[in-house]
Amino acid sequence: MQLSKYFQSKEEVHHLWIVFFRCGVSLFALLHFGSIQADFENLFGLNAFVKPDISLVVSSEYLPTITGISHFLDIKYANLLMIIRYLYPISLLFVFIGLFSRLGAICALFLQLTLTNSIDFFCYGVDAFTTICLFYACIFPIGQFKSVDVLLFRDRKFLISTNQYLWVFQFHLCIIYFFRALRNCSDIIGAMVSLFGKLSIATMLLHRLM
Amino acid sequence: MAYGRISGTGSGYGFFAPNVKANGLILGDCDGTIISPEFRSYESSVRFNSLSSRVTDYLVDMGDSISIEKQQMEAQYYDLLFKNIAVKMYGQHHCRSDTFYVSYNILTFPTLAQFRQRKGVGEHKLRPVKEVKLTKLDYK
Repeated sequence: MQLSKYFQSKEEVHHLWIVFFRCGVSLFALLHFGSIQADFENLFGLNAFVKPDISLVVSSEYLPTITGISHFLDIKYANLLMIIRYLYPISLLFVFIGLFSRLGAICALFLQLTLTNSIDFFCYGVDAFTTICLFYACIFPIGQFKSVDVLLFRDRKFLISTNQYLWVFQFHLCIIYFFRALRNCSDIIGAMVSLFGKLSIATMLLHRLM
Repeated sequence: MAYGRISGTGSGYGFFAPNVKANGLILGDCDGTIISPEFRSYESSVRFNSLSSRVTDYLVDMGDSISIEKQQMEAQYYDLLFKNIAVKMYGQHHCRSDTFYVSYNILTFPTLAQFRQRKGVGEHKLRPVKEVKLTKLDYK
């Protein structure tokens, strides 16, 4: 009842959430990318801990990699890496201020996918969340409220309602939390075995190897 | 499949499921001195730890592959990966030794029975489960 009331409500959600979403996502991605700058060469460079050629084996065939693009465009790997290193934060800055927001978001998503696919071994959960958020930044009308786009393109028709977009996002978050909990429940037998003091992953590993 | 990768929805949501994984440490041995990979930011160390996590996954699932050929290929691939890390660490620490070892170690804790008997309480040991040797060759 509560849910149907919520989804059938004609009341408009304040559009400030989309401004917060745009600024939050871009700022977070910027800071996250900035935090690896000191070790950028150790993670992405030709002399990285895992060389690009070795990473290529485990990378997804559906997504671009820096090595793949460098071969395709016939550019040196180091030069392309330098271009991406500057282009990614610039596109995120565009998203942050709301200047050519959608174009900036598409560019940022493409570069984010390229970067994460190039260092598959060094990726973790946060990267998946960043990808999800940037994907929604491409779909949602992020540049239509409190952005430079609004100031520049005054004659453009703007949306009034953002309810549906918020629902999509909320629905996705519900799926994330539901399946996160379900995954933990699914291994309840394993958890019980652990409780009875039989095995942890570490001891299981030792048993396998001995 | 491609949609799942592009939208990020295909990455799975089982964070820390079914439990927090026992993580390992990648350590090098340069002439008796234990060394570890050096990073200038915490975020990079976290990223390197996710590599360790992948190695744990590999060692846990080792032998689950359908064909022996695939198992051998995986073993060769992870050997190559370790050698790559070893070369990087060797250069990073300016190691002068001719032989350099890099190992993947897991923390072993006392069992519950030992814990009840108060044996080894508060102690943990590093146990190498995979090791590669790097030897410097002189072609002169």
